Amino acid sequence: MARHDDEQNRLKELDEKLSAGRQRLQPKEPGRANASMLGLAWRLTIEMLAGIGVGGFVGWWMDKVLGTKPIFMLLMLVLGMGAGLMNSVRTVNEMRRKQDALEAAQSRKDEE
Amino acid sequence: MAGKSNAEGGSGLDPMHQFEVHPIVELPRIAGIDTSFTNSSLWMVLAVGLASLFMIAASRRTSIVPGRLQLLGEMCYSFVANMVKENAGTEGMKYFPFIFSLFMFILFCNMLGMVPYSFTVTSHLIVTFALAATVFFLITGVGFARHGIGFLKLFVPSGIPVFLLPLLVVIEVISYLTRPVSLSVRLFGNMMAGHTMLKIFGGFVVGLGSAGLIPLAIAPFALMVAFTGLELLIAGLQAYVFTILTCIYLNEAIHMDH
Repeated sequence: MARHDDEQNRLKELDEKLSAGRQRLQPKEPGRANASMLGLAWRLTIEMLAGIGVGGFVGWWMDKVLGTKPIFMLLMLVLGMGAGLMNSVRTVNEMRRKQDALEAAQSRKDEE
Repeated sequence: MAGKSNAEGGSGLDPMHQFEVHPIVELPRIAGIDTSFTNSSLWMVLAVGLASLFMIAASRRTSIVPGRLQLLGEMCYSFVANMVKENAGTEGMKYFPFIFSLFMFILFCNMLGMVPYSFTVTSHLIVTFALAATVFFLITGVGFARHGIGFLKLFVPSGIPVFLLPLLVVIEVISYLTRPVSLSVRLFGNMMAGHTMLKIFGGFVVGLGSAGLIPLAIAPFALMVAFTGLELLIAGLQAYVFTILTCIYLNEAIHMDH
């Protein structure tokens, strides 16, 4: 059994070393968040356009079914813009939360 | 892909030619649907085959000290597993097989698209939309299966005056319906834009080079090299983005919080 315990201890040591190494690598994270600004811009654009597109399509389809041409299409187009805008705002808020959490973690680490 | 410009060359340089779908094996139409085996189908089959082969090979001989292949397989597994756990909780792990397959399929399609002379399956909107629609219906199904009719509460924001409620419910429903669209357009747009750009710069290099202006061709060539690296990054990143958004939507369907 002694041999087994020895192995366990070595594993534990290795685990500690690994997590220490990972901690050292951590501070690189915020840089990567900045690099994805283009990705964020892409996301927001697509989000807004998708809102308009889907809103318009749903309205057009409702008009076709109900026979009330252009009313619903116009209405849903405007609401679709609203939905797109709301999605974008949500995306930005979520990104900001992530960024804040990262920065908070960063400043905690600096204090230590 | 960029390499193709060599074959066409000259005046007939068309950056969109690489996205053409053409049948390899002609098959009869069934109920008005063309069932021919196309180059798109071929690369999808290749992606599925290679991804399966990779995971089977990686898990064939497992040992405590993993070999290179096993390490790669385990990295993929734990990467997706952590993503699911962090974004959808341990309950989300029930749907891990689906999300893992989704990730591996998109990753392999994107990466195979980077091979010269290959075809990028994910640069077609219909393919990415089919993937996104599958995700959308499955997750809506999960939501209704777990919460029954109460899942509709997702569309009713809390803390809103009553007279604004009908308007906001409609907006919420539209915003829910935009998910498959934005999910698929993002993947498709990134892949198509990147590959078109590579092709255009590749065309510059070939055009300038064959016109005897080799010193001038160095600048677009250097850009080509950089863009190829960037495209590899985007190929991985977009597979990741597609998967993580699936996890986020899944979390909403399971836990119903905004």
